[in-house]
Amino acid sequence: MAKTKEQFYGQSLVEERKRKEMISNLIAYIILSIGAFTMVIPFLWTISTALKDPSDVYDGRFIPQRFSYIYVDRDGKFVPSNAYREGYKEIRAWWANFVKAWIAVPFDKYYRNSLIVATITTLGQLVTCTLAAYAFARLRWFGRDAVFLLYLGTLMVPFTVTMIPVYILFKWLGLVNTLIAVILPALFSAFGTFLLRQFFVSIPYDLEEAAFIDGANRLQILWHVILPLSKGALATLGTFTFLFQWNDFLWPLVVLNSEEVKTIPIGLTAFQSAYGSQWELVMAASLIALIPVIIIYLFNQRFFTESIMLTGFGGR
Amino acid sequence: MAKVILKHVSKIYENGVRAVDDFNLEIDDGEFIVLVGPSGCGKTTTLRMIAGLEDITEGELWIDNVLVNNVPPKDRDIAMVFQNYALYPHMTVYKNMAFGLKLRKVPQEEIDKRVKEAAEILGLQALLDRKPKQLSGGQRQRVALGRAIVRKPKVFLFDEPLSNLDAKLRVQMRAEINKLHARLGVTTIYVTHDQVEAMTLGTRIVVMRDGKIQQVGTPLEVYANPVNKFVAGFIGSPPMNFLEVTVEQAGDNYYLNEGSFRILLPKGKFSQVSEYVGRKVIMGIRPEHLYDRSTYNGPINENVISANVEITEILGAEQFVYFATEKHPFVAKVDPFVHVKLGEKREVVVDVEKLHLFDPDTEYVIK
Repeated sequence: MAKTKEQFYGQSLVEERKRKEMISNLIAYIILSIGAFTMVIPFLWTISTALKDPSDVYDGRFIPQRFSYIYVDRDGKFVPSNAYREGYKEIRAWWANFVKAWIAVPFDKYYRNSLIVATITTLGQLVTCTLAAYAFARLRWFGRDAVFLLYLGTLMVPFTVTMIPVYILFKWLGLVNTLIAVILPALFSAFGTFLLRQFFVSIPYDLEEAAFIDGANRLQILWHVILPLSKGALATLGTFTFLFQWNDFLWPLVVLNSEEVKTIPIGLTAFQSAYGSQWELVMAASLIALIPVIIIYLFNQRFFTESIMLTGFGGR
Repeated sequence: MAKVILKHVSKIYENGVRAVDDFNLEIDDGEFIVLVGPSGCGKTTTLRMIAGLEDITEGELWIDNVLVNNVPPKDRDIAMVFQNYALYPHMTVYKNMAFGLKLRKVPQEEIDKRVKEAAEILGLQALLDRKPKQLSGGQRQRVALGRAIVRKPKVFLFDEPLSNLDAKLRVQMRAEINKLHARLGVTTIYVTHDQVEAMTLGTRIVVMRDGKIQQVGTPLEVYANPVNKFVAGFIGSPPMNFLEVTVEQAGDNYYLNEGSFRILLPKGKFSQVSEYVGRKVIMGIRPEHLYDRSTYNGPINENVISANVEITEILGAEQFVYFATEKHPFVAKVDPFVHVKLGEKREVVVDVEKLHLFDPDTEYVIK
């Protein structure tokens, strides 16, 4: 009869091993908890502030003592605080600050602009980066690797250096204060090209040769073979791009002036400038702005965790 | 189905390496040609040139009377099975097989018919909805075969298709490929480094070394009449024994003297050695043409070597005995019931009619 672990090692040895395992687990959990805590505290504080009454914002408490309020006029419409008249009703609710933020500035326009910019640039980058990355990864052409390095080198030039020339260029093109000015430069990305190229290189070349013999041309190979295998990389790039464009501040600030074309990050500054610093509104607006990002993340998460399915290959 | 003709085909890489050198071969319609040789001999490069995955530096490649040097792979009407199968990991077995047909805009019913047909031939009916990662190695190999046969190509190309399988499966798949060829009759070019595969599959085999063809012939021709020492040593397992001997003449007879033994050559081989008297030649003898004296029924006339037993390997149906003279080791395939003791001196009979003689300088067979 086979001996159990206990019989084989002796009871005390097994126990000691278990104890050691427990201690190392405990340490790991403590460190991870501290990390998670540090990450999540600012977010929870944001939520807390977004719920608070304006006069409680600086009270230093984590749990809001009372919810914020909002005025409703005689027709039952929400009105901004500075438009208060005699006889308006005051409603206290957890969502008061969110509604306030939404009506204080043309938030719907910001939201729409941000969605347009982030969606188009994300889709655009997925297309341009895929094509460029495939060319850098698989096509053979003179000077390919040199061009690739050069392209990568552009990653090292800070945006602040190119900002003014690019601004002048767009001014010359008559595109300042249009969404195109924000979208156009973001349609191409050295980072995205690099990311996808590295991934494409790792896909076995045999697959492409098999597809060649099956009768596919380059674009068909890209579409039918490479892209389906690159879902993870594409989801990563898509999420990064969307996030970056959604949050991008400096360039839109420089190039967008009118309310019609402002994006959310610029719109958020309204609460800090036009009305002093109304932190409860800033936080509420930030939380509203977070929604698409969370949706994108939840949608793409399954691709991140999906392992790369290259198991169709034999013993190598 | 088609004839494939290679005329003076060479592959020279940018760094000047000649991977394939002046390859000439005419492959008949329906033939099963096996390119065999050690790794780096250019056999895979040759196959890839036929497939169109590799440019042809020099020479001409004709498939079905069309010069295809500059024809892309997809228009050559060939199908290839890769060493690692190269199945599309994200597609089901069905889609893997249908992909090539779909790209060629074959009507859906026709695709369905052909895939089902191929699945039936290969026993894949139950697996059509699986993905490659849910299949065993042997099943994947079948799918790769299926992907090739649904296309009904003019030529099949196989690039070491069995080398990723375990020994038992390899034997099984080998038989299936043989059956498949008999059934479909498509011209087939098969690359392997395994001489057993070459012997069992090929209607003709092409032995290659360093980018050059060494010999082309039916498996038996190549086995029985190797043109040089390389081919002789490559085909056959265990390989042919090579012993350096001196040619001696005594009266009308010619002998091979190794130092520790002397063998009388049969009359038929006299003309071969007459010019080599007093010089060294390489004597080649296959293990299966050496016999233990106790079981040998033929004539014994100065054709006996006595040597020490070093190791013996009993495989059941046969026994390999590793001997050593003072100068050379050699192996003999003897009856497994002959009781052989390690270290003892035994007498081994040489079937002199089966001797091969090679020039030590050129390593070519002495004619």
